[in-house]
Amino acid sequence: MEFKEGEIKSNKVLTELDKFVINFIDILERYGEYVIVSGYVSIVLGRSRATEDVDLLVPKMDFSKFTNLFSDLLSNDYECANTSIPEEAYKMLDEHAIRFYKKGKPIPNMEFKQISTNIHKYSFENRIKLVLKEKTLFISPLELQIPYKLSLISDEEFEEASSDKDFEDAQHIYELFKEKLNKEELFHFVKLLKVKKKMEWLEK
Amino acid sequence: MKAEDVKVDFEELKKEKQRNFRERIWFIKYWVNYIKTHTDEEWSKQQRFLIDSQLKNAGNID
Repeated sequence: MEFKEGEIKSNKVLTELDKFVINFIDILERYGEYVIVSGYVSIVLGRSRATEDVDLLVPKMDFSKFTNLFSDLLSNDYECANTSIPEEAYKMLDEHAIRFYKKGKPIPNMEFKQISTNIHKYSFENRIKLVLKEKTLFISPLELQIPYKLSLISDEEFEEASSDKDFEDAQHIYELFKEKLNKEELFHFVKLLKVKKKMEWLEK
Repeated sequence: MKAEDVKVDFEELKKEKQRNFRERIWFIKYWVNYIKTHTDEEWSKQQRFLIDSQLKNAGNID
């Protein structure tokens, strides 16, 4: 795996999870842009674990574009866990994520979320390219991904130093790319998300 | 031993969790080193085995 000039290149052999993500992204890209965030970022970068969902952030679409995407997904054997009615799904996006999966197979699923916070916006606008042999994916900037994962750990759990997948995801990415990360940007988000102590653990 | 005879030493349990945490972190570093010292094809075949078998167990690979 190679990380330079804001781009990661990997010749990894695809898992069924990777194939699921690529298939979904192939359809989504006909209608708009996206960024993949959270657990799958660590997994596609080699973390030794699976997941039941893949988190995806998308800019708000107009209704007709969303309806076309929804119907394209349905005609490609996907179903939406929340509703089969596109109008309802579109309204839900203002409140929460909706999930898509291959018919009859709820695991894995795509958690499709509309960009709604500054953190989301930053992640999308600064997304990085992950070039696989079969497909280029866009993933969250690692300098945000690491502190964000640390922020998901409850302080109580952290004090007890118990096993936590979010800490391990952050650790994996940090160990893999620590020489290549933009430290200024990384520590900006460490400060912003108030995870200085957790970051010190990660650097041990 | 009956279930009602089991006593829990919470201090010991906490130490066990901490040991487990340290061991997990040790393995993360070990695995990252494996990724760095092997080709993408090599490490990812092992990752594929793990992930695909979990999805297969969930009944989601034909």
